[in-house]
Amino acid sequence: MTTTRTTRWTIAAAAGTAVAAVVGLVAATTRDDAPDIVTFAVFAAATLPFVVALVAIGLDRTEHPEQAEDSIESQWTTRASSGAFYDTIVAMAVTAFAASVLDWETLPLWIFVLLGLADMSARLVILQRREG
Amino acid sequence: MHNRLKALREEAGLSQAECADALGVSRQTVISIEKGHFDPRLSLAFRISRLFDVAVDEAFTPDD
Repeated sequence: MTTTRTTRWTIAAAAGTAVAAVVGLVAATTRDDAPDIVTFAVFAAATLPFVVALVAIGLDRTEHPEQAEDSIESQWTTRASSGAFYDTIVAMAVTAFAASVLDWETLPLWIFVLLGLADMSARLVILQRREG
Repeated sequence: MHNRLKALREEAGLSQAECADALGVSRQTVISIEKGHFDPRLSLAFRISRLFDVAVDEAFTPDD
């Protein structure tokens, strides 16, 4: 079944809100390093965009999801994700090397998550424009 | 790989959307095959050959 863009984002927003609320509640009940309301707000706000994006991407199967492996969209996703994975590994390796040379004690892993997602998104857009 | 999908589709009087529906793929996939950007898997190649009633090697030929 094909979902419209509005339906897809509505479902994604509802699911994201529900999951973010649950994550915020769990964090607020288990962590004691900040007031509960602050913990809830921080974890819910951090969770919300990722869950919304994940659900929206998961529902984006355009037409004929049963034949997904025969579609160019599937090939674009595979190529974009494998390219982004390679880029992320290289970036992490270079950063780890720099960190050992410069004696950094911590590495901001979330930066690589953001870089990987941005890389994959950019690759998808480029492939769609070039081959679509 | 070269393919004759566009010629076969036009001979059959099908639009890209109708062809995509008949093959069970997206219109974007049909466009990409016709442009030569996407070589379909064997299962889709057989569906194309059945749809237009031609042999697979009449619809698809290797580059060399």
